[in-house]
Amino acid sequence: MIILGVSLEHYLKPNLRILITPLLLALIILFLGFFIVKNGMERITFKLEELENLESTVVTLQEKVDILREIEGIILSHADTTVVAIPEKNSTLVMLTHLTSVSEEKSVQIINKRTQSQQIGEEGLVSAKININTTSDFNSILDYLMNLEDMAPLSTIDEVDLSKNGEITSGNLALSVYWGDFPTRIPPITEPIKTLTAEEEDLIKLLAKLKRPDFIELAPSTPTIRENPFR
Amino acid sequence: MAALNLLPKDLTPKQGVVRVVGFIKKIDMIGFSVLIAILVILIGLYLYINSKVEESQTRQENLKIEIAALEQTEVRLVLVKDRLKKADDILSVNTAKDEVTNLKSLTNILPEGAEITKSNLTQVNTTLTITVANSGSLSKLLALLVSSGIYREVKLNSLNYNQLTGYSLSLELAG
Repeated sequence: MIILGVSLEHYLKPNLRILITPLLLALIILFLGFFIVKNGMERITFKLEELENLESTVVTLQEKVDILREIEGIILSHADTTVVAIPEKNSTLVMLTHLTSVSEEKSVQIINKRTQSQQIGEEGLVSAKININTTSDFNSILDYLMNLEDMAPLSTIDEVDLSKNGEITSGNLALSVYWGDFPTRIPPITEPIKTLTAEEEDLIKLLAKLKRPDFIELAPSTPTIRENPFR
Repeated sequence: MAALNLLPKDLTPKQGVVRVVGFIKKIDMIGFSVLIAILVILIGLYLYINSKVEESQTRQENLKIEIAALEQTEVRLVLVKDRLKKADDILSVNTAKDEVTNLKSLTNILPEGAEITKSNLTQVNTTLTITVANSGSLSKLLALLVSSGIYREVKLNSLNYNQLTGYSLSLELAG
């Protein structure tokens, strides 16, 4: 190839010879630089993300430990209070026992007790209806009614019919009692938990004030001296 | 002594090219130094972050062991939260308890000669039948019903008069 009467090969040869090495070196440095920076940044970004995730999990776990340590001393009594208020099993019998004991306190005579079918509500809450027929004086029945919702397990008064005949008042009361299954699973270990809110604490205080059922506790009998039957 | 160059002139590179080559070599040197510096910084950074990751992993494992030791407390907390949610649902149910309380308040302020003979209390209202001996007691009763503020709404369903028993009122009340 001839340009302006001079051979290009002849013209470029010595120039190219001295240019080629530094140019190649520059290219290699550029390529290595690109490779190192790209790879290095990718690895560092990955590690940073891993660190960020770990740190956030550590914060969550630390909060969880703090909350659990904070409530460790009181949660057992709270669990007891709430379970008495809403038991796991059918609370109809407990309520019937309550109704009888309170009726004796308030001089109200229960003529008839009847329970109706159970209804399964939202979130595993089950309720059953109790109907009772009572007689007494008007004020005693009212006092009796006012005590009913202040007892554990929780119940609600649905309807009351009172009719006075001379000095005797007969009353038909309809109540609902509630219970529900215990939760079966705890959240995953890395899931955050929330401590009890102020509203929940107030609710626990309210539930703690409810009159508990009188369960009979049998005291263990002390050992006695057995007589020798061969004497 | 003057430098001798016995090479033919065609074989020596141009002065301009020699200068460019010198410049490229300088850039190569700088580039190489920068590359080494970047490499050292990246390796250092990687090792530092890696040590932090390992530290966090150890902390996480220790915390998991602590939480496992506190599992009973967590179970109780979950149980308490579940019971409280259910208790809240029950307490938000409409009940006739307020009506019972209102009726009790009403019986405490009933004027002489007035007597509640029938009452039906539901979750929303109260229906009462009250017998009143004379008109004086009747007007007193109605005035008390309004002024006491026990009930928000008072509806007179019927008013009967009998010469022997006096007045009989049927009222629908909402607290």
